[in-house]
Amino acid sequence: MTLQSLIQQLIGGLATGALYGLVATAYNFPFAAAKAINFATGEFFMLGAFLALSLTKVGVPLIGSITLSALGAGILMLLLERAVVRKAYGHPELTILIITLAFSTCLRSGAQLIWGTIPEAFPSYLPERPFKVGGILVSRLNLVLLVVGVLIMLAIQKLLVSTSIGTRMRAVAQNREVASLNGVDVSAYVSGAWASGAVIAALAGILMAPMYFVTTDMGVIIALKGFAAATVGGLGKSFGGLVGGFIVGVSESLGAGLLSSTYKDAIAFAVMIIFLILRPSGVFGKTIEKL
Amino acid sequence: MTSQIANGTDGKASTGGGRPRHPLWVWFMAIVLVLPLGLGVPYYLKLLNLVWVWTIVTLGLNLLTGLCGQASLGHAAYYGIGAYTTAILSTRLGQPFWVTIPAAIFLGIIVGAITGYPALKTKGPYLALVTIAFGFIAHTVFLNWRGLTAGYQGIGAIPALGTGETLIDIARTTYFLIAIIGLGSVIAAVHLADSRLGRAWKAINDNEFAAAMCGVDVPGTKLQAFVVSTGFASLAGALYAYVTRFVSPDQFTLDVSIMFLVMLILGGLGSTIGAILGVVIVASGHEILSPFPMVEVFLYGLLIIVTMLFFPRGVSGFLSTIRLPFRGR
Repeated sequence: MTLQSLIQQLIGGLATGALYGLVATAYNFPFAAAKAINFATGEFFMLGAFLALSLTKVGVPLIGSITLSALGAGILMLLLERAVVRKAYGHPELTILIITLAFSTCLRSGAQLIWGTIPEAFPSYLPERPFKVGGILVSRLNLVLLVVGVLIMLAIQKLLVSTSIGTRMRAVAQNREVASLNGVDVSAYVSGAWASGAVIAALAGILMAPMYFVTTDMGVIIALKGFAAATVGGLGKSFGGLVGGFIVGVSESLGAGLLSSTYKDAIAFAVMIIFLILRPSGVFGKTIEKL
Repeated sequence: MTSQIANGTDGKASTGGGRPRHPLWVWFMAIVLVLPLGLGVPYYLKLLNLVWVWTIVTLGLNLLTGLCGQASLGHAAYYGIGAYTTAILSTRLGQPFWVTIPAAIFLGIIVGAITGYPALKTKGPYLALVTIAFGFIAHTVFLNWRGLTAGYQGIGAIPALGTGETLIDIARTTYFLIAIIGLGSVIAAVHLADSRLGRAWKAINDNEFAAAMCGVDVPGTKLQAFVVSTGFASLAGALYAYVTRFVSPDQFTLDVSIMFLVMLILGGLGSTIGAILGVVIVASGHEILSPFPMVEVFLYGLLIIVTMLFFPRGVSGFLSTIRLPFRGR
């Protein structure tokens, strides 16, 4: 492997890493607020891409269709949380897991009924041709993915750390009772966390849509990679998602280049399993519940 | 009580209160097992075989999910490992079923222990996701390790389990063997649920901290539940290979893992008869709705949500509120 191709692989890995990081963040929001994993995260990812595609087709400008489809995903999750998930708080963890899994099967088969199973191409908003920097080919879409992904993540971090809404969100994640005693409307913030997760997942889906075909199954594998990234960064740690995403994305892309691309998916999962064994709290995790 | 749970994972532990060991419905099922032998159409026998096969998977999943509260979304992989082990050993090496089935169970258990260990070492929702990931890896291996699994073409011409002169004779002896193994699994599952190990699983499901305080080794006991359930799944996979006599990677996908969970949840988490009812319901639904696969999957999702919210103990829990001559436990 030449140095140039190594750097190319590295950039590709960072770009997919940013994508995994976004999906990881989508997991982290409901996990931090409700100690629950949203198994439908991958389906909101897919939904974002399909809604944006449909809106673009009827002539809504790009920015409008991105905003509307991300909001649409968020509102759908908000409704589902209010109508269904809410009733399962206080039940065993398994209940929410199974309910969100049911959302995922319903959304996936529902999308197949609406949009069909034929993959569709998302109109590219950038020239397809990669540009060259010092002999290294850089795909414009990859660059957009990397920059926009990191920007979204930095914005989330800024929101969480230095606004009052963010402080309340962190308070809810840390201790519900104390947050509630201090006048935070905990139930609204928990709903908000579920909806934020769906919005972030949908945005990630829209970002990825122009690179591959849009299919109803596009979220399944990405959701797992995103979870691997969340595990590596430490579940529930907001910035951990990005770092975990980069670690998973780069090791996957370098691993695929050095070994074989057939087992590319296996490499990402292997990274997750290594972290689960050696450092289950993730890169950023400090304490870990042990039994 | 404390030391009872803590020590000994002996399967023959005492039952509280002198309840009958085998409830009425086990005997009822023993009779049911013989009746289908009168069926003259191999297709119906094959369907009933599948019901037994899925029952075995669901029973194992019930021990893990219903009793111990841990979800696996990769059981199709262990089922697939059992099926491929059987297919390869019987077609390539000409081994009979008393070699292939134990080999399948053994391999399923080993792989289950290896995959379950990292996921269950840490408290958290990791098992569900690690098993989904493992399901994908297993599917990739089935698809790409062509030398062993023949890739997407699959392995055909698996010898029949039963013997006989005519097709219907073969179908009947096959059904009989599968039903015997299935009934054995039902009895094993009932005993396991009632054993000290089973109570340790229930204790973990109720309250992990309390279970740990009573001396239950929580990660180890969870791993035992997982390994037992992968053993059931690989046994079922081995029988599945004999029922369809053809295995290919498409038969062991995430959707199949989800189908097993749907069977369990609809029937009723934690109930052995519920596991069987769930299989019968989903298998009948599958027969009716197979021309509309998407509608079928959509309905599964909807049914699960309704079940979890309104009938958390599934059909068997719902039935047990009505008085019936034989009731689920």
